[in-house]
Amino acid sequence: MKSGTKHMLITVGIIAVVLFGVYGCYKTGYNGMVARDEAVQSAWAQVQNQYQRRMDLIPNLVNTVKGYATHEERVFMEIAEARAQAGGVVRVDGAMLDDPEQFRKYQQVQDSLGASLRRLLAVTENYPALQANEQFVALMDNLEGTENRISVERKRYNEAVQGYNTFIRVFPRSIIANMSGFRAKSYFTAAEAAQTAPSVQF
Amino acid sequence: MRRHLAAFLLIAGAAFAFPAARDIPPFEGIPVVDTAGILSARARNELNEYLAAASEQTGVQVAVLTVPSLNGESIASYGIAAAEAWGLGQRGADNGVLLTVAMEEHEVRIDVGYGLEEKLTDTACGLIIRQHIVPAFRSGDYAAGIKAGVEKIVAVATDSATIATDADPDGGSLADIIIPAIMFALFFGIVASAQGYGFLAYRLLFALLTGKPARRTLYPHSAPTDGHDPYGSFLGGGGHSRPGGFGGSHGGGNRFGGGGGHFGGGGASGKW
Repeated sequence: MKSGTKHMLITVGIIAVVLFGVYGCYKTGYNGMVARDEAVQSAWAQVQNQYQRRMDLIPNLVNTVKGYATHEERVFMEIAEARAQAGGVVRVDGAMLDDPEQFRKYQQVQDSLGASLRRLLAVTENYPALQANEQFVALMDNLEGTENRISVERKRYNEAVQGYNTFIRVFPRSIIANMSGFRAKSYFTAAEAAQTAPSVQF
Repeated sequence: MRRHLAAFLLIAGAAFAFPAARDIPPFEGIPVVDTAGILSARARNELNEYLAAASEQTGVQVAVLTVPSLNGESIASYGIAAAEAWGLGQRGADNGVLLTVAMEEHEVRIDVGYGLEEKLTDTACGLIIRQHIVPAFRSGDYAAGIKAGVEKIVAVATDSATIATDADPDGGSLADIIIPAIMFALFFGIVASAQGYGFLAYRLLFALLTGKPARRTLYPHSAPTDGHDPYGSFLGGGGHSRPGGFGGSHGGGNRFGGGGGHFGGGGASGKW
C-alpha cells in the first residue's frame, strides 16, 4: 500500500513535469508564430501602401502624357485596363498570403500594371517637349521613387515571410503550426519574370 | 525531406535578399566617407564639420558616400543598403539622409529616411540633384556639387534652420576634457594627500586618466566586492564607469553616430 502510493506519486509527478514541459514548448512556439505572423502582416501592409501609391500616381501621369502624346491611344487603353484590374485586388486582407494561387494572381496583376507603365514611359521617349515638361519630370521622380519603395517593401516582406516559414517548419513547431492553423506564406518572385516575353515552345 | 526543403527555402530566401556581393565601407561616426577620393582634405573637413553641426543642432543626419564603382548593382539598391547598414538618423525619428556618388557609373542618389519623406519628397530630391549637384559635377567640381547638395538637403529637411559651425573646427574635444580633468585631479590629489588621503588621491588620478576605477592593485584585501564602494561614488557609479570614456571618437565623432534610423526607398537618383 505504502509503496503503491509512492509509485502513484512519482507517476503523477512525472506526468505533471511532462505536461508542464509540453505546455511551455507549445506556448513559446505559438507565441513565436504569432509574433512572426504579425511581422509578415505589417510588411504586407507596407507593400500594399506602396502599390496604392503607384495606383494614385497613374491618372496624373497619364493626363500629363496625353497633353503631348496624342496618338498613343493603344498605350493609354492598355494602362487603364491594367489599372482597373489591379484596382480590383489592390486591398486584400492578410488571409490571402496563405493561398498561393490568390497570391500569384495578385502579383501577376501588379506586375502587369508595372509592365504597362514601363511601356508608357518608353513611348514618352519620343516626345522631347514632354521630357522637358517640369510636371512630367516631377511625376517621373515620384514614379521612380515609388517603384523603388515597392521593391524595397517586397524584399522586406520576403524576409519576414522567410523568417516565419522557417520558424513554423521546424520540428516540433511544425506540429503546433498544423494544430493552430499557421500555414506557409507565399513569396514575391523576382519581377523580371513579368518583363520577359513568353517563350515559344516547339 | 522536410529538413532539406527548409534548408533550400532558407538558401533561396537568402539569395533573394542579397542579390549582389556589395562592398559597403564601414561607418565610423564621420559623416563624409570618400572612398572614391574625390574631395580634398579641406573640403572633407568642412563638410564633416557642417554635417556634424547640423546633426547636433537639428537631429537630422545627412551623410555622404562616394564610391569608385557600384560593381554592377543599381545605385538605388546600393544606396539604401548603405543607409540601413549605417543606421543614419535617430531610431524612431528615422531622420537620416544619404547622398551616394558613384564615379564609374556617373550616378548620384539621395536616400531619404522614413521620417523625412514628407519634406524631402522624391520630387524635391530630384530637383536638388538636377539643379544643385549635376551642374557642378558636369564641370568636374565634385566638392562644390556635394556641398551645394547637402546644404540644400539640410535646408529642406530642417525648414531652413540656421546651422552654426564651430569657429575652430580642429579644436580637439579630447584636450577640452582631459586637461581640466588632470588639473582637477592634481588639485584634489594635493588636497587629499595633505589631509592624509593618499590612497584616495591615487585612485582618483588613476580613474580619471584611464576611465577605469582602480581596484585590487594596491590593497587587494580591501577591494570591496559588494558594489558599495565608498570611493567609487566619486566617479559616478563605482565599477560601472564606462571603459575608455575619453578614447575613441575624436572631433565630432560623438555628435554623429548611426542612431538606427530606417529607410524605405524614398529619394531620387540622377546622372551627370
